Amino acid sequence: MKVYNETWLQNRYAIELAKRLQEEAILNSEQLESIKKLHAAIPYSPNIFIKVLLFIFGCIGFGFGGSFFAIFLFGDTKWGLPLCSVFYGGITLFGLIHLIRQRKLYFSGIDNALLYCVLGSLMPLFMKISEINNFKEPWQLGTLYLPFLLLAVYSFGEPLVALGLLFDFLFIISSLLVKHPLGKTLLPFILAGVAAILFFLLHRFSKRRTAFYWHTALEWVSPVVLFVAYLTINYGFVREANASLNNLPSSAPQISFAGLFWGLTAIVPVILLWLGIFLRNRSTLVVALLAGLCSVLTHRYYYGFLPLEWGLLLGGLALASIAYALLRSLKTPKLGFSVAPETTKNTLLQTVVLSQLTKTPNPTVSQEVKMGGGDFGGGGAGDQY
Amino acid sequence: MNPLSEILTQWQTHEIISTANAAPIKQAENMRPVSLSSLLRNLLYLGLILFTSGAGMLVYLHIDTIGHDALIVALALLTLVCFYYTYRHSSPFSLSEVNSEGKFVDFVLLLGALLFLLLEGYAQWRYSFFGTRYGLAAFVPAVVFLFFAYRFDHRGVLSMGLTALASWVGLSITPLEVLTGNDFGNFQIINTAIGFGGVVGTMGVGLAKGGIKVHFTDTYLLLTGNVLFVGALAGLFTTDYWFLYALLIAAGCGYFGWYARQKHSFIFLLMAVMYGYIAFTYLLFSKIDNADFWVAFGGFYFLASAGGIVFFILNYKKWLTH
Repeated sequence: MKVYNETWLQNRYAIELAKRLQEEAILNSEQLESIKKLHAAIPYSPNIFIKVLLFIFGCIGFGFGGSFFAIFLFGDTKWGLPLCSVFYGGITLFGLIHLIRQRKLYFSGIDNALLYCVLGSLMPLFMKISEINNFKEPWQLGTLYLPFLLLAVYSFGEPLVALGLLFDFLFIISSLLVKHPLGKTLLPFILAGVAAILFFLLHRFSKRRTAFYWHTALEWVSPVVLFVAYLTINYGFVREANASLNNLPSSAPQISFAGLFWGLTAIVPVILLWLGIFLRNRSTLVVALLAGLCSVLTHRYYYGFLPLEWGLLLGGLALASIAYALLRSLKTPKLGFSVAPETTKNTLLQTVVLSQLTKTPNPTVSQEVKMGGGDFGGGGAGDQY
Repeated sequence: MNPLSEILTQWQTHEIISTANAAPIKQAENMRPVSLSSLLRNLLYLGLILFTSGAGMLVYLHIDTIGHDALIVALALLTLVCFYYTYRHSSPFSLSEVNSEGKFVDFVLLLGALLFLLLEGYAQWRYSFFGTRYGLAAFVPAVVFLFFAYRFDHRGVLSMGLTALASWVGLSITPLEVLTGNDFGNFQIINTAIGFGGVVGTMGVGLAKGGIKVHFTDTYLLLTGNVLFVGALAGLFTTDYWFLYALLIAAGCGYFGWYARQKHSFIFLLMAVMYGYIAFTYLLFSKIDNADFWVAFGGFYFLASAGGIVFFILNYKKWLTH
């Protein structure tokens, strides 16, 4: 059962489309007004700050509601807590669905919070089942959760739950593979293969009209799957994971097929970059950049080819130059990319970042109040320079 | 994946667009280029920050071989080039917003400001440029940045100027460090924080009221509001004059709520609600000092108050319009 009304999501998409077309003078304001009337039922999807607030108070409400509920219903029998928790989760789920329909919520903070809480309320029951069946390994608990996560993703299309499902699935596969020596050896390749197949399946699915309901989840999961595919063949990750899985000493020893992993570490970011351009997908490009950065850092970690200060200076210069060159060159769209202004501006975030850069370097050693008594205000500079 | 075809058909059925219009819209939408504007601008910012950090480290490490004077001159020249470029390429001064968002000149000004801090710190370390008057070393960039922020209309440089101004009076107003960067156990620090937040915040609002850079108000209120509220909360928690601080928080919440309502600035509503809630809850728990009462009603209070706040937020649009 899909919890959110798909028509609301379609209406929201239609209005955004109409606004864009009106800005481009393809539609006039009368047409825009008619479209707004036609697609009047849109979901309540507030600003990020309001979402945060609703999320926090949703969690507080659930938590204290639970303790209040427990006072009345919690017996001290051995199934008391698990059953009480599931019962409370069930009531919350019922309330959540009612709230979503009544208030036209769509990832508004509170629905996300309550969904996580409902899924969390299953935990005591699963712990009890694990205890009774003498489950010794965490993946068994993960397997108990899997169908519920799948159901939640199908019904809600919530992106973090979708990520949870993905990681649960990958965790179960990895846990089963490491049980056998061959599985352990082939773990990086199998995981990379599974992640790559998942990416292409998700990509194919996302082209279908029916995928629209899950578009947010797909937008989150697809790049993460790609990054997982990269990480599982990254030389440094494989070397450290190998040492950790085989209980080898803390300074991880060399691995077999080192040349192959170094080759993959170098080539996969390039393939991802090509994929991002080919699919005209911004998030794949971001993954390619992150993968490239990880590859450089991996190489630096093992070979230390460039001192940190030169790395920062040259890397920063290269990054800024490429970004600047692309900003200029894409003024005329190329390969399906442009630098047309985007509607999302986050100037307050910039305020936080720049204020952080200008911060007082060591402000609390001895804080005395007198005009002109402040510590030195410099970006990494000061009298302790 | 999108329902474009269905929507266009709907628009045709309701005679909002003609059949002849639908086909080009569909084609244009399917071929619409993906914008990399935000991504590239953020990378440019990141590149500049990495570059200046690398330059700073390089200066620090190679000071003996390069020579201080040469470095100071190079830094000064680079800073001047940045400021001169900004001066030559920026739009003329205007009291209202000058839309230069994303233009290269914005980045050059930012780079110039960051280099200026580096230069100043270096000159102070090497030559004790400001002697023991350390305050001046914070005051000078504050004045320079505030001037540049207004002249060249740059919110980023404004936040740097306000942060430098706060460090002149001995405060850290960086949003991530308001709590950890200040010793709020100290009565004087509490009052300085409140004084700074009140005076500078009022100044920002006053300038906006006079029609000067109205769009700067959000930056002023974000940076000064946090320090004011945290200072007042510290006063409420630790001093005997709790009543005055409670009144101050109530007034601050009232103002921020009003401002949020005026400007639809949700972050200020968030600040008003969060700080107000903390203060109210603290007062309730500290003034009704009865453990038995709270054992019974504590859970209920949090449940009811969280529910109340959620209800308020879900209905705040009605509150905004009435």
